[in-house]
Amino acid sequence: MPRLQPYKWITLLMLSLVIPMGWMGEVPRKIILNESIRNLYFHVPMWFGMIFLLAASAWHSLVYLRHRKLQHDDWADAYSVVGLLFGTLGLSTGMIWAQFTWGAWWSGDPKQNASAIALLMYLAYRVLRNSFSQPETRARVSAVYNLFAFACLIPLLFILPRMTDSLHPGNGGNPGFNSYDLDGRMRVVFYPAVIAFTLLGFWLSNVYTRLRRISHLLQDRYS
Amino acid sequence: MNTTLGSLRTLLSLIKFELRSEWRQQNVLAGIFLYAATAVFVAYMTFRILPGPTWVAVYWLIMLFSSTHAIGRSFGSSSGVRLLFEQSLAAPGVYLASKIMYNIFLLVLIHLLTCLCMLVWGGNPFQDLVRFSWVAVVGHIGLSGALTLIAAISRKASGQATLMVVLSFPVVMPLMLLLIRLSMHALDGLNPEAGQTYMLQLLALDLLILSTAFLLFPYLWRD
Repeated sequence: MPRLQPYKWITLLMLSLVIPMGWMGEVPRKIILNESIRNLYFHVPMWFGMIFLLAASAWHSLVYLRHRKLQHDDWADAYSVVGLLFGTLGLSTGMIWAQFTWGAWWSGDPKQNASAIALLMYLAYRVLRNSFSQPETRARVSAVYNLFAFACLIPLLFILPRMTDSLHPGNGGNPGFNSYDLDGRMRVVFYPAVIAFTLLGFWLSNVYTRLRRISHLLQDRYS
Repeated sequence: MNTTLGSLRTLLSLIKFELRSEWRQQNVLAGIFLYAATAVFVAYMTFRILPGPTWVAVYWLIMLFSSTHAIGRSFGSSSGVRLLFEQSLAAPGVYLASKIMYNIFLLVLIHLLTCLCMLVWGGNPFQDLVRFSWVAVVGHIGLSGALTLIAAISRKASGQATLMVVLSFPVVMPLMLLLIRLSMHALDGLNPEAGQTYMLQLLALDLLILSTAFLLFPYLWRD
């Protein structure tokens, strides 16, 4: 038996239920949506996960600025990388879904645009991080940018998409999943999926940080 | 009371100092204005006739590029000695305020020039030009705040010009979306009450950007 922290066991358990149930569980039959309604279990949790991960990244940047401990910078780095991964997965699952339900990969939907901008922000954060050679300066300056980007992300993701009609379910007169589409059968899979994928994101960040720490150690030893 | 008055006096003298040193390097200022004017002329030569929405889009694109160009230098032009002198003179908040205020002034100048060129070459598609000017000026406050902070960040990262663009464009995108929306209202001469929510959102975004910039700038301040 591998020794794992409790939340990792929970993640494993929930994912092993969510993934088969997501593919094979009973779903309501809707016109146009058909089987693609299952995307709810995989696409939407990516966004929830991304927001939680980016918030965690911003939090660690804030803690870094307060206490100047480089391990917080490693955490901020890891969470932003995994957040970026989740965002990319969310965008691509959304685009594939959109091709079959809305009829185009990209339709200028406000949520599509907002998430593309969000990804650009955090890609810029990667570029900024890579342009320093000194770890302390890198940690400090990129923490400032991370916090600023997160502050700009909030209106981008939560306010601006609500201004205009969106093709997304639940917006602009489209039936929402949470009104009558999301019936009990879907809810039992959807909520655990959100929790499980978010926890998976935190687990991935944990692994990433440990890898970075090992590479720092090796660098120190052999240089 | 005394300290407030003192920092106000420092603020004024910093702005005066900035103005005077910029005036001495007229070729740099002239370069920025020429950049905007040339860009407008290129847009005019390619479009010939600028219909309303294109006018607005071209205007904001040119504003975005020339303001990143103009504000990107705001910390770069100071030599090490001058930076040290300015930093010993003022508190970080006062120093940032002087930079942001000077940059707002600069953006308004660029705005006036760009607007003038576009009105001459592209014609006036606006039903309500006065409202457009107001919207633009309110937008310049936020734009200046965001770009000044990013300029300080990219200066720390050895001030590459590409970094300035990469870091700032996604961050000012929410602002741009609102500004384009409000400019469209001025274009169609919509009842001002129709755009009131957007105007409030623009002001709130300005406030968010400025307050985050003032909170974060002290961390970039000194090494």
